[in-house]
Amino acid sequence: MPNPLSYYQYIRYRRGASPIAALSWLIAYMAAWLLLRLDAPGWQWVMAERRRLYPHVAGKRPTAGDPLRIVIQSIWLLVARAPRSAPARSLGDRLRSTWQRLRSIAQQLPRPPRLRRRRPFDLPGLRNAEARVGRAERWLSSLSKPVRYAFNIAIGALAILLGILCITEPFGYTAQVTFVLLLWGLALLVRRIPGRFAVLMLIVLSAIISCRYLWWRYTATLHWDSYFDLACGITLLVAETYSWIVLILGYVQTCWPLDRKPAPLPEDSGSWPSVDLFIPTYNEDLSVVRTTVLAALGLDWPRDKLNVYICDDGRRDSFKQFAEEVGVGYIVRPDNKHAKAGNLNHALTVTHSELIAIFDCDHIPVRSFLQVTTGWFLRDPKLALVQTPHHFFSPDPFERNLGSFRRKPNEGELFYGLVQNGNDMWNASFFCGSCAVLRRDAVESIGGFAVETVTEDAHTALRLHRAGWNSAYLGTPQAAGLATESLSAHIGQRIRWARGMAQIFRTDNPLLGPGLTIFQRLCYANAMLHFLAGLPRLIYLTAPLAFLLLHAYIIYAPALMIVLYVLPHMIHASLTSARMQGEYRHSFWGEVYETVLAWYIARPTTVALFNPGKGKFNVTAKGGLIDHDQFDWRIARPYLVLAALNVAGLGFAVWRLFTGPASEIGTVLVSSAWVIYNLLIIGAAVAVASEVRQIRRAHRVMAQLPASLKLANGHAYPCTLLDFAEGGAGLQIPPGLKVEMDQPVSLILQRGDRSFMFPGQASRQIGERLGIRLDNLDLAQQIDLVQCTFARADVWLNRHQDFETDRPLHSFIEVLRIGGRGYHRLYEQLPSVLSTPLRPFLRLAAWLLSYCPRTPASKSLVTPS
Amino acid sequence: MESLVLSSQQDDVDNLKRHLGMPKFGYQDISASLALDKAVQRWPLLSELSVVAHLNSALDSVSLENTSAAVASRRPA
Amino acid sequence: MKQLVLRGVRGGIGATSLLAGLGIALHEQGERVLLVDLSPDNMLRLHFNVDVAHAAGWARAQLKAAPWHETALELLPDLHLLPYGELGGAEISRIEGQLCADSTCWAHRCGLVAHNYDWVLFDLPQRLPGHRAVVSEANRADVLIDLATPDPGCHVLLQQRPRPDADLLLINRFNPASQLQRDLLMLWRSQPKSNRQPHLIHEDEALPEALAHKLPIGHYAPKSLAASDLRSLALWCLAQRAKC
Repeated sequence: MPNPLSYYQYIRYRRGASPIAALSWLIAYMAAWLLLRLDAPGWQWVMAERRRLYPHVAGKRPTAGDPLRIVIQSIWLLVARAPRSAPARSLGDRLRSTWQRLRSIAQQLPRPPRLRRRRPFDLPGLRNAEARVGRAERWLSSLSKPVRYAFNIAIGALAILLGILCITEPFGYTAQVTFVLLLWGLALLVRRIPGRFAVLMLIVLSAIISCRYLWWRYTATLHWDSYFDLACGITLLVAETYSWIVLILGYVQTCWPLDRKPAPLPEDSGSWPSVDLFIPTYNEDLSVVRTTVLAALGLDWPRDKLNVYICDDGRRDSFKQFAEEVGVGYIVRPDNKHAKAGNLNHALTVTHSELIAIFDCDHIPVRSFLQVTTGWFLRDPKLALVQTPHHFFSPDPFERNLGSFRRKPNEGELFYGLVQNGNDMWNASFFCGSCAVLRRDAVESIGGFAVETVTEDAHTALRLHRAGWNSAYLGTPQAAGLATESLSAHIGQRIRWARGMAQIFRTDNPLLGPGLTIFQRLCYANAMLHFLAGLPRLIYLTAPLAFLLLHAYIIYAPALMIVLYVLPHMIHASLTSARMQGEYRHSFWGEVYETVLAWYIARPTTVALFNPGKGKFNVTAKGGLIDHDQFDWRIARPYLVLAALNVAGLGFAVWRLFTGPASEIGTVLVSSAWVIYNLLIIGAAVAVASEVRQIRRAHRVMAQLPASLKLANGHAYPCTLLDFAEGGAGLQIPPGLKVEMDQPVSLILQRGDRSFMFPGQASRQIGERLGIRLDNLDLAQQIDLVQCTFARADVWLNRHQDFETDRPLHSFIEVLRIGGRGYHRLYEQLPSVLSTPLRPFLRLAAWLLSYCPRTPASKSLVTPS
Repeated sequence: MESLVLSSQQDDVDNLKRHLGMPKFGYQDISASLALDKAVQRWPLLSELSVVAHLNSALDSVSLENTSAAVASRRPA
Repeated sequence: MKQLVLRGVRGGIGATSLLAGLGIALHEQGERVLLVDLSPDNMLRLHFNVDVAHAAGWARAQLKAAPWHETALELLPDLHLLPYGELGGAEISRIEGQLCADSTCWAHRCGLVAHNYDWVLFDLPQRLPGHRAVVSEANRADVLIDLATPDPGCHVLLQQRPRPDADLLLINRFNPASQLQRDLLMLWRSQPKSNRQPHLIHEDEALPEALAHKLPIGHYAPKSLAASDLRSLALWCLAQRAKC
């Protein structure tokens, strides 16, 4: 029998709780003691793991609500996510053991080997699906040709008829619910089947649901009696039509990624093509260009067949001197006409090699770049372009400000991981301005790089395709660079791309004109449409306000019907994209990326669409520093306005709930849900605008490479290279080793079977981590250092290893959480006049949130006995 | 076996080949062969010895061919 | 049981120290190891904290026609050392004569202790062919490792292709800061038709310091680079045994 009085005193005085809190803890303690067998091993384990299982209660001053928090968290742990390493416990244990038994039964069932490798826990009925498909294919190919033809046509016709029926047949509530549930269940089943058949199936399901939605919107939801309602409704419908087109085109574009492999070169390096490597620069620092040039000098390509040129539009003496010092070509021109495209075109006139490799001055090629990329040029004489991904080793503003660097795929990952790969299937890979190899004949045959628009790269590729040249995309990162530093620079870059794409869309529309296949047209059209997303996004962010503020019926249908049509459309689209893109973009993150850009690209794209001649080239600023945390009010302003409008909308919603007619309550609720979603997405955009401090000029690249350290006294130690940067490195040294600061040390690195030694200085040591400065190297050593670090053939290959896997629901909650964080940061930035009255509300929200269950850390702190 | 595994993972080109799933991708380490040429030219003793070594290996290969030819001729047709 | 020999292409390049280190590294891997000092210098024992004045050894026993194996010292469980013993010049010549007359002497002795050890490691003198019978064509040890330092002298000697061919070229005191050493290493690595893939022991002050402390490197400075290089050499030895 425990002593209640001493427990009370312990909680009250030793843990510093208030009398009420101590009383509440005491009651809970007594109840637990009476009802549960606390000395059982299961409960002992829970006690030992309490910090992990109840992170929000452990370690803080006890309060009166804690018992309730513990109960809620316990229920959550039992029901939602049983911690994996938990040993036997009362109820959860029984549930889990049943589940494990089911699983072990399922595992014993026979299944084809391919499925077993990919996904261990499939539903038994679906396991043979792939084998059955294979059998059907064999049967089909055994038929004679005309029979097969007729069979295909019949199946196709039947499918089209069925599709039309599914899309156009109006349903009542019950029918629609049944239909939606059927398709949803089918999608959930198909989702678990590995292979591309399942992807195509998901696409078909999603396309049917989305077409059905749009059909319904056009035929049944416009309010023709009121001009104002009709105008608002049609505006929204146009935006939705745009999204539908982008969705369908996206499916076409990425349904079958090619995953092209490099083509091997002939053994005799004498037959390899000659290459001119251009590094165009305008106003970037020499320190940025330097690394790129040093890496280019180490490319594994016959020296007599490789010429490196710095194409300097800044005409700087320091660059000329540097070029002479390292022995690379230096090209300048009398004027700066047409910016980068003009620069490259001028370089074309003074050089002669068969191939041209182009690197932005901050993109560092790895040594295998040319041997990996050029093989296809020998294999396909009509090949004009091989593009490789742009990989960034520094965080972009999204990653930095949202803290997602190295954890989640970044904004560009989708394009380079999936879209370009899908384009390659249709011979429609785009040129992206850097990290690419082009055939000189091809570029010259179209009159050089396109100069008419501000995105010369995409336009050049379009012209090459029109002229009948082929393109290829290799998804292996063979170069890496710096991402844009600040959000404003990032937005500036996207504005330029958006404007350029809109210009091309107007002046050289890929849907019109000669020379392209239908799929090339679709791929280009989708790329350009993608940049017109600004206006539709703004429409979505304000659409529910039309009803809440102005009482316009934008979707003229019963609220329940809207839910029954919209939700399946969204769920199918996100299920399908999670399956297709999950590796390259997590669900709902696209919303954040798009929302941040929406306001800023809406105007330039619209202007460019109407007046393509307007708009000049602006250079993307890179390498800047942000010396303290700051909130970019200028960037965030439009989103604050949108947020204020949506908050007002919420106010109106409350007012309408109480004073409006009862028949509108459903509509008000649906609109409010939409407004709240919009508010959180806007919050995420605001979160991106609060810039996180960035002090390091040279970005550290994480690594795991064996290395050695030699001290001045002649002792040497094996260690691991953990990170490197220009002029510095971080090492893991053996435990217990003390290195005096500022003493000279040498770093030994290997590449292939060669060793290199670099003199440096110890700069700081924290435990087993040693930082060293490598700033006094001669030129040969600098080249070797770049070759041992940035230019290693494998340095960017494992970039995905720390990515979390995409779970749509999880991702959704995370995006919402980021939205909440955005408002919190905004609140911190407010002047106290504004923030003081808000404080009680925030306190209330924080107090309510403290009851929310938490996800326990996955790693157990103690080993279960 | 840890450090043996490590040393096999140190070769960046091997890692690339593994990543590409093309273990037979013919990669030529041009910079290494260039450095080797320079190394031999840099030191007179080394260049003189390398000439001798080349001659020796040429002689070896000739004698090897002879013996293998002899073996082949001895084999019944 | 496998016999292993470190054959220095010339003297004074650290063969004895490395053999002591390799013995410890193999022992750390759970192997039963016997270290045999075949060199009249009688230096191997000094790496294992044996008194300088300790005069006993197999050669002395052999001269007295006493049992040779009783002079073995247990350094650690399953790690044994057979010192040469302190001998004068004439005595060494007598031993040399006996070993020349019976060239399978050590092969035979190894056979006698085969079930007690996984590895027998031999430290060789630079001259004295009788003492070096374990590297002769006829009685070649199971694992033969050539030892060189990356200097032009060793390069010249290596060009003469010591016979029989070794399984591995071990390079001691490699200092990657030296251009000449890097060049030589690259040249040795590029040698065609050579199955002696070079393995590196980096130059490390801990190696001479270890002898000054009368300890093998693996015990004196287990975290040093040289000790780590020797550990990976030991792993190579185990892999080599698995192959043959």
